[in-house]
Amino acid sequence: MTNVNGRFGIHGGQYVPETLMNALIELEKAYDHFKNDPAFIQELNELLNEYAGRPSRLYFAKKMTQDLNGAKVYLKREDLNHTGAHKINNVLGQALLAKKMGKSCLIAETGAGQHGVATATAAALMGMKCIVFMGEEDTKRQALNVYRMKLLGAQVVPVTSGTATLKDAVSAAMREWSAHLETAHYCLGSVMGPHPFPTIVRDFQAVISKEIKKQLLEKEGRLPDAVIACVGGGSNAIGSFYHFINDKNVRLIGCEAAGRGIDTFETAATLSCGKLGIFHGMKSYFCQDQYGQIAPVYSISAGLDYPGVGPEHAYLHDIHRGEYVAITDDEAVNAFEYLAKTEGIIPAIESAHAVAYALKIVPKMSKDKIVVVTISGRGDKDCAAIARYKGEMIYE
Amino acid sequence: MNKLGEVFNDKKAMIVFITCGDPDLETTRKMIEAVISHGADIIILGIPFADPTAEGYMIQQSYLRALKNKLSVDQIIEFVRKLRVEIKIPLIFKTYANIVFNYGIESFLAACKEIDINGLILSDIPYEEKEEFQPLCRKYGIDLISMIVNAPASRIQAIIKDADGFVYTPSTIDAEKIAAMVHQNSTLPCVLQSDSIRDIPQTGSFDGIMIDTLIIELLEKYGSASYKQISNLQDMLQYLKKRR
Repeated sequence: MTNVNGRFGIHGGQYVPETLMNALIELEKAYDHFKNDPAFIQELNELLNEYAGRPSRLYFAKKMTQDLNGAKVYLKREDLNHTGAHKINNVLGQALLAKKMGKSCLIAETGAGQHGVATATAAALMGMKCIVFMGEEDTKRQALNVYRMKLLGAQVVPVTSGTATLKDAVSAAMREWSAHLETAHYCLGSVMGPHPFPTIVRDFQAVISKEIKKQLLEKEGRLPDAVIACVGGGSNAIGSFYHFINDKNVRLIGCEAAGRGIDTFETAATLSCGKLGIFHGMKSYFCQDQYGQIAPVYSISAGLDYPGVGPEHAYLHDIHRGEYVAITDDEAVNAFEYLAKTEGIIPAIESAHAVAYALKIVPKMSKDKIVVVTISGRGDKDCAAIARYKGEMIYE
Repeated sequence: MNKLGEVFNDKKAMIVFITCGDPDLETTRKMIEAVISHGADIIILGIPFADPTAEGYMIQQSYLRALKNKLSVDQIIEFVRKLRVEIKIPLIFKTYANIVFNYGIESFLAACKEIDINGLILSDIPYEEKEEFQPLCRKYGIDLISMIVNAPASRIQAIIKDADGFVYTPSTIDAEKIAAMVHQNSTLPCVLQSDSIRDIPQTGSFDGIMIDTLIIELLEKYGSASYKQISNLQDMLQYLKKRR
């Protein structure tokens, strides 16, 4: 689904300063070589299986299915991966690629800290240096993850410029990379940024849908009727969708963060509220003001708190292959509590956005239908924040 | 007539970057007049973008100061229109792709032509993406200025072949080599982007110098009074005196 310069329809591309082009060309060449190299593939598979704990389970949520009294619900348990989220799939791939390219340092951006922790983990494993950029606001909100990254040997740099959140961390990471192209690889955490990142990250996350397909065929002998995943930049969603894109009868549903509602300014639902633009190396949809300045966005979920969306999602949205819906903070928190009480699974607040949409549509579907919901991460990191949201003043 | 090219005919050019609206447009006007009176040949006017990923912290802060007043592209266009009554030297707009894209590429360039803007620098448009912009720039007679950094010779030559106006290269150990390549392969002027004017050989391989943060540093320190400080930029003035 990629053509010249990494276009997905009109989206994607390489909108970066000339100073970064050499590095992008070098990365693309290396990736094109190693993705077909049997030794690389074997080494990565070993890491994914032995270290990260793949394949992740496709769990039949029996109580949830009974309770909703509609379609059968399966949960794809990316929360059971090492480091507690899907992020590790991409990071192990990119870290191994960087190592093969002779790089000694991994640079990463992080919002809530999950991708930062995953990158710090891979760097520790592979004996690489690691620098993680994190908005100063987020370093305060996610102090425990900052400690984790440091424990793993990473240097965490608080970013104070702009709105001091994920968007600014991405900008800072890009700048740092420009200054250390010889030795460093920018381990981008989502299916965004300039080509070839959206393709590389998608390929490393596509293991999710590859497994879902195989596991469901084993359990049910057929494909699902819908796959639901949350979308910030969109890496777990594209990973969950990818091997179903050509199966036209499988609905692909991405759940964006509506924050306090898509009719408010406190939202991060890019495909509902954004317009076409160019930022962070790609053409896609972005939340922006009338003058083309990127808008500050808000969501209870720091992982979905990004003003853009990956170019392949923008394309799936354009051609109506993907359905994109907006889920509010309240709906996500409700789903967070629901899954904890019903299935004994505490999902990440990001993943709870996907669960929330399942709660809406599953009861309306007939019992012979099957829905897969990707639980992209575990929710331990969110417990204190959700407690505060509900009025209990708990701090980590 | 290509106004940008003319500047390089008989001297090494001094190209000065100023953020529009930092801290307000009146200061920008005074600053432009001050640098011209000291000998600047081309002014680059930065249209603020709040997330300038290609620039450092100092320029981002400058853009953010300018945006405090909700400065729009239309206000900047009107500002330049008035400026053009007095100011005759070439002017270049420098900004990010999204500002132009959001305004409408063709509407933006038509407005540029109307107010006699002579060049455009888009910091996040590399060679690979310029097809969307360059043909329209040419239609309206505006030079889309290219940056060159150390790269395989084939890439540098491709950039040179398609470049308009002049090219610039950041001050790195490869800058001399890049300038030599530009001169071997074209008649384009090659400008060095640097704020360390002192280190630049006056008779070096470059056709001019582009200073990015010297003025911004003044704006950061002195705000609306910074135009009075130009005469303290001794290195810049020395360069201007000796450059011919």
